[in-house]
Amino acid sequence: MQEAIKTRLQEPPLFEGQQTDARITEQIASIAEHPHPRAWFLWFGIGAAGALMMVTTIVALLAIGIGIWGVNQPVGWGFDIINFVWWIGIGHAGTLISAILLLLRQGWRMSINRFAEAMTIFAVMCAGLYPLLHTGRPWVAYWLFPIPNWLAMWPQFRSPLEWDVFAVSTYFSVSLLFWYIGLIPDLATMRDRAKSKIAKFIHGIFSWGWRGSALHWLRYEQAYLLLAGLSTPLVLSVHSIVSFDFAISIVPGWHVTIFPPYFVAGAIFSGFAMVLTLVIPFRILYPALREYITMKHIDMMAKVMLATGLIVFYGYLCEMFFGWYSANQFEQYLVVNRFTGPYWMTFWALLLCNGVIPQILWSPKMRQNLVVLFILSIIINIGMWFERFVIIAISLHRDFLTSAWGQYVPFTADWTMFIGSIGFFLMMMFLFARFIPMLAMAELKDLWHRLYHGGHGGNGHSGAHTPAPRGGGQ
Amino acid sequence: MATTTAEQQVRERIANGRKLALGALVLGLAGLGVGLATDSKTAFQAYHLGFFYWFGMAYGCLGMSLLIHAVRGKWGLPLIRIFESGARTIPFIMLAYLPVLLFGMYPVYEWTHQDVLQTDAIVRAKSPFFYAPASYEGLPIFFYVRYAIYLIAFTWLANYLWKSSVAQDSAKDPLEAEAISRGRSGPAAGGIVAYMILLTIAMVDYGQSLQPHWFSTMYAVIMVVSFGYNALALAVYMVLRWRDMEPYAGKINYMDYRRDWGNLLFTLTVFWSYVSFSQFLIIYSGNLYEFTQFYLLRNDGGWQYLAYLLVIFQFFVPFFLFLAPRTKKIPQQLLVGTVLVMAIRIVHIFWEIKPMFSKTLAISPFDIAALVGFGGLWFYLMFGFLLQRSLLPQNEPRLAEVAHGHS
Repeated sequence: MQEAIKTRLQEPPLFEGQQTDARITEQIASIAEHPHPRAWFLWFGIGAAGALMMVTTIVALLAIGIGIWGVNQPVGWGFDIINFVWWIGIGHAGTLISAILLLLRQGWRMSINRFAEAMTIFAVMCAGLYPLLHTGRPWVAYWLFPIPNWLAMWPQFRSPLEWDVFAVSTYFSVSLLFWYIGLIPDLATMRDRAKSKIAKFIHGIFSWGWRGSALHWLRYEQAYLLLAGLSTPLVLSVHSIVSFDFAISIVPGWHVTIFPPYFVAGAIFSGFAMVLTLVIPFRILYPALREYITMKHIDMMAKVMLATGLIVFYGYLCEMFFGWYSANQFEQYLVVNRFTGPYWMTFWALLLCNGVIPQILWSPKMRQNLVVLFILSIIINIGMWFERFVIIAISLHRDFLTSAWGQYVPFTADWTMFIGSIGFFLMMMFLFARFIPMLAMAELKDLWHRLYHGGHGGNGHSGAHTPAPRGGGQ
Repeated sequence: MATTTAEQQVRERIANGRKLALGALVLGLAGLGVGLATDSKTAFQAYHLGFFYWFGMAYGCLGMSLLIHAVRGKWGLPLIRIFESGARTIPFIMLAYLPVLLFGMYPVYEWTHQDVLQTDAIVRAKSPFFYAPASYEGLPIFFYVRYAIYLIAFTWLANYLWKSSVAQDSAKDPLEAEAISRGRSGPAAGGIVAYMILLTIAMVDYGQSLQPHWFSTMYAVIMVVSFGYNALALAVYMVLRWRDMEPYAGKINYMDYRRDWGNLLFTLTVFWSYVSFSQFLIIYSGNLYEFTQFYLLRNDGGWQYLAYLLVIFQFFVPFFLFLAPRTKKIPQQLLVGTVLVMAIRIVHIFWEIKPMFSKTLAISPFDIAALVGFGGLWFYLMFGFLLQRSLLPQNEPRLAEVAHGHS
């Protein structure tokens, strides 16, 4: 009877099939060691072509100036800032998974953290490019830092744009460090498995002489926890500060007090959508991943998307209601302009993509359907891009005086830069899959032992045990 | 399984508390009665203040119950009865507001003043929100309709959770109990959506509309966080006070729980500060009178001292207190933290609500009477509901799981 109840109440496992330390290592490390499937070359090639397009655009931009973009008066922020916010948001899933879920002791983070953190780093790289280039003179971008100089120039610390410089650069450094610290034991494993001398040497350098002694593990755990503590406020702060870029000003549609938490929720929403967009095809490309990124993980990510998507939707509703309740003609016009103005399609698309369609995630069946989830994740990515378009372009193109109204039309260079950055991102993700163990092997082994052997991080032999314990927290 | 006899000691305490609460209710009523007879304007404003604080406590309890069921958090299991009982007070607290709705609208709500409606274009532009479908010269029908919606919807939600947990308590076999417990998760998540939407509007009605020119999209978020924070502090306080008695003894005296509660209180401290500071920074930087009037009013006439208290005791002190692992190790220290949270909530509500009635710092005895009276009513009802059932959920394997786990 007791057994029957247990089976019935069992939650989906965090691992498929029987695992041993050796199997985990073999399955994950061998992906980076063996020749890749043809699809890898195809996707890498597409990504590299995109990256090339981006580089060409940047060269043209530096040679000619930002006039090759469609930004104008009054829409001084166009695709550049839209894409900046979009990319920064995508990065947030990685930080949430790596930091907050670690502090919350969520076991399901272990299989996706490496992947999501890599995504964060590449997304922040893409994001950082845009404001840097948008300055028009990226070669003097160091002026943004408070470096004493003979020009007696000092950054304007009251500007949220300046806060952004610090927020994003801190975010990038901490994310990179976090990712790299987690990689060290795995790089040592790769070093020990390497057959060629060069591979041994390179992995040896990057694994810092890791031997897996108890002291090494102690230091590793301490560093990891400290970085998790540091990253946690970053999840909130980075996108809050991005939201201040808008909210601190008095432009209708920007001067909204709910912006900080609403931006953070939107960032996590889009970040998880991007994780799903990548993880679902990667599971097909590398079937070994399916043992570690199970339907339980997919389900959890879908739930996070549903929750954060609802917060975003709540933000839209608040903006509409308070736009009317403000009794302020500019605020009220903004709401009307969003629904019926020249860019009405983007606003309706945003409501549909981020508000209405994600509601299918309430159904547990839909959360298990990979095709639906994949399509949905793309829809959310598009919807979240529209959100930034709505916030930036719609608010700027008609603000106060009708004589100052204008239109915004992106030029070819806007599109090549945007599509190019997606290509760059794709290229980096495939390079990551080629050279680095995609999942955190050491953490997965630790999790396996904790779940199925009751011990904490023991390195005992794992035999054929029935995976009885429930997945999820602990 | 805890029996009623084993719980006798705690039950006696609750029964005694109930008598005390009844005393507080009578005292508060007497105080308010004197107020209504002598200075009805101040008394009605005090009445609103008392209502707002305890309304927050009841809704906080409902919010926490919904959260615990939606995410199926083990940390909430020892507290769930307190939240469920607290949530069931909602209809009574709402009904207790009827005197203001019937007789006290004028002293509380500026948008009912005909002279303001005649001369003030902004208030008149907002008037359909309160008066529709009638014109602003008639009754605030829409405002009353919304009151009825909150009353019905939240009462239903609280009762649904109560009934579902009664069903779990009396389930015949563990499978059925578990199925009920899991089946509640989805509706509870849906309940959170309804809760947020309705409470956002309610916070316009009972909070923001007191200062009818002002609005902020963040206001409801700040309030909802405050409510949950307060309810959590109260529940943790009660359970910790009874930690050496059955059914809690040996079940909740574990580090796991205290760490989770302490961490959750820490998270809510940070989150409250984050949303409050964000609202302040955005409004301060924008520097438009339609927004800044909120802080101008509250940063003057003595009210600023309450703001300083909030910065210190609502952020700095609890931040370091709940961050320290020591606080979570020592039950007494966590107790101090919960008392601090509950005390500072009173300051917070005063600072939010009272400046709309008085430009200078003024605490009338009727404010105290209203807080005490509503508090008496709330505790009387909540203790009553608490006594109706076992103090810990029955047929809950996850409770045993933690109790037998490591300490």
